[in-house]
Amino acid sequence: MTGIAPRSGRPSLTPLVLAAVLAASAVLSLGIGTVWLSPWEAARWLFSPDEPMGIAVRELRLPRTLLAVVVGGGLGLAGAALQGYTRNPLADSGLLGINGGAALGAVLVLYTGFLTEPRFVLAIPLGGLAGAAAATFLIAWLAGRVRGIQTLILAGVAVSALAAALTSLVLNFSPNPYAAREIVMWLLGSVADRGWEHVGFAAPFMLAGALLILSCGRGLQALALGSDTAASLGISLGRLRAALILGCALVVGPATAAAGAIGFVGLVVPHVLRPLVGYDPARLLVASTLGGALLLLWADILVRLLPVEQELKLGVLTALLGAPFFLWLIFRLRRLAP
Amino acid sequence: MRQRKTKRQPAAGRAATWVVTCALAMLPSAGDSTGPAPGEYTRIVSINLAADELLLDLVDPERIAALSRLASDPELSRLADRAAAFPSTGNTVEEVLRFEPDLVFASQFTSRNVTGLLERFGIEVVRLPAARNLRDCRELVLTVAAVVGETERGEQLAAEMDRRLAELNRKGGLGTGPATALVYGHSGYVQGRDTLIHDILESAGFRNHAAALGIAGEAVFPLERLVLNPPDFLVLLTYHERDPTLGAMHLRHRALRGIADRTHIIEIPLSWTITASHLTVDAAARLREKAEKAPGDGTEAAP
Repeated sequence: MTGIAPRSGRPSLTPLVLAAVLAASAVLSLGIGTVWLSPWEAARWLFSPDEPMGIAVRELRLPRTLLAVVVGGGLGLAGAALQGYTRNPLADSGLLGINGGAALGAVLVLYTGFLTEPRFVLAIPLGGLAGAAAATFLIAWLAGRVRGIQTLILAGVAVSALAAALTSLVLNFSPNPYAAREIVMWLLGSVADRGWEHVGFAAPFMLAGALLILSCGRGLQALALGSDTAASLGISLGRLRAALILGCALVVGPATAAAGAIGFVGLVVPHVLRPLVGYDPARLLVASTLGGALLLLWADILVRLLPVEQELKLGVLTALLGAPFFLWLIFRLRRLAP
Repeated sequence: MRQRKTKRQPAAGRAATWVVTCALAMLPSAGDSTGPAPGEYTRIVSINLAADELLLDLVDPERIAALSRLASDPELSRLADRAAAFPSTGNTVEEVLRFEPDLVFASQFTSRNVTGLLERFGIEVVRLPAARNLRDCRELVLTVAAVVGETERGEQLAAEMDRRLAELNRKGGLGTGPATALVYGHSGYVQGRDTLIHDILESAGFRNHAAALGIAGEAVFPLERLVLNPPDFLVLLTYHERDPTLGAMHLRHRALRGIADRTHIIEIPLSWTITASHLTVDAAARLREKAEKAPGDGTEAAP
């Protein structure tokens, strides 16, 4: 990893442990569904392309697992980056309205006719990307002008509300009455019944965005010492901000376009992992990527294990976990405040 | 969701709803104790697609003041061409009142605010219950016919339904088994036991795949379940093909192509199955026809 050496001086085991658990969970995930398979069986079916079980594992469970990993990882990474950049523990792409912006962008594309043309399949992630970029830019612009955590969160609430209102407006104009029901379900977030095209259209953008954010590790470390110190260390704050805006948009936009609006992953994961990486914002980026992937993958496994007829949506599960956490965080911050 | 709950209400509850609905329909309205007798309603308005279809075949055109906006939508209505000749109305009180109706047909799902207000204006309101099988459809025909004083025409329509059903019955089950069929809607919604689709499939000579797997009412059927346990016939409901939705994308998943050699895919318009009227029997007959025309008629795959 780029950046200043960990303050503790010893290499952290956290990313290695997280990566190992993530790999094991991903293999386990391939075996969970209508029919349960052991990891060996799942691996065997992966290479039997024409059998029904082979189709289920290769065309449904594998893309679903990969999508949970990349979307969760992306949201964790974006959360860590935003918290690092704003030096604000309440920053999260969902709370700041970036997920909402991405959803609006994707919905605009979905319901304006691009979908009828299969070759325009890239329009969906690009729509999500544009929406996320607009929202991120708005938030970054506001962050430069307002003081205080609360104001930034309130700005995020406003951006979220605006995006949600515009999303409803788009649906009101959709000629297909099913659109509203579908989009309400979709907004709750899910990776169920997704396919390779979703992985294909989301992953490349997200990978580019992730690399861009990871390259900001050193800048975030310097920024943790204060913006003046960072500037004196030769960090260009303008360039850092531009890279983070673009990176977050590249990660969150296509993730939302593929899996719907899933909140709180970017809030919870960096918090839990921060002490484990010695409060180093650069090391937190990698750890949060792995942690976010792990969290969402297990959320999706849980969704498949629950004996309910109507699938529980991923966004519901992450909100059930994240919202109480958010409340706890607010109260803790109030106690710490002078 | 609300719809699903209602579908699952116990038989006794459903019967009670039916009785209450019919009783209300027959009572003169509170505001106007000398309301017209059944045959004398001359300004009938429908804000319910099933009633739209029934009225078109039951009453003289001059008695219809307006039909619902859905009636002239060819994606939803089987009689869109004929309905287009009539004024159309939305389902708000203001729009309905504009037609100065003496009788309004609404549905069980119409907002109570709407029907309550209409009744306060002294207008007779009939709430039609949702049909859960073809027998309910038949009863619906007779109820509406009685309300508008066209019992004879109603009985003719019902007899025609009986004749077509008997014809289908004579054909018996499709193939040995009989062949299973799954009606797969947008976003993977399927209909199990106690649904109109179930009865349509059974009447057409299929076994409802969803019901056979223990599903009652409406449920989401994950693609994985479909791939691992495909029906002999996969019936896709087409609707607004030109206006894309996420749900339609679901029907184009690559995993579905993977089972194309093990199941026959039939496409039918959503309008065939969405309303419960005397025309619903057609859905069964036409499904049967389509299945019989399928190459190898698909029954060789039946268990």
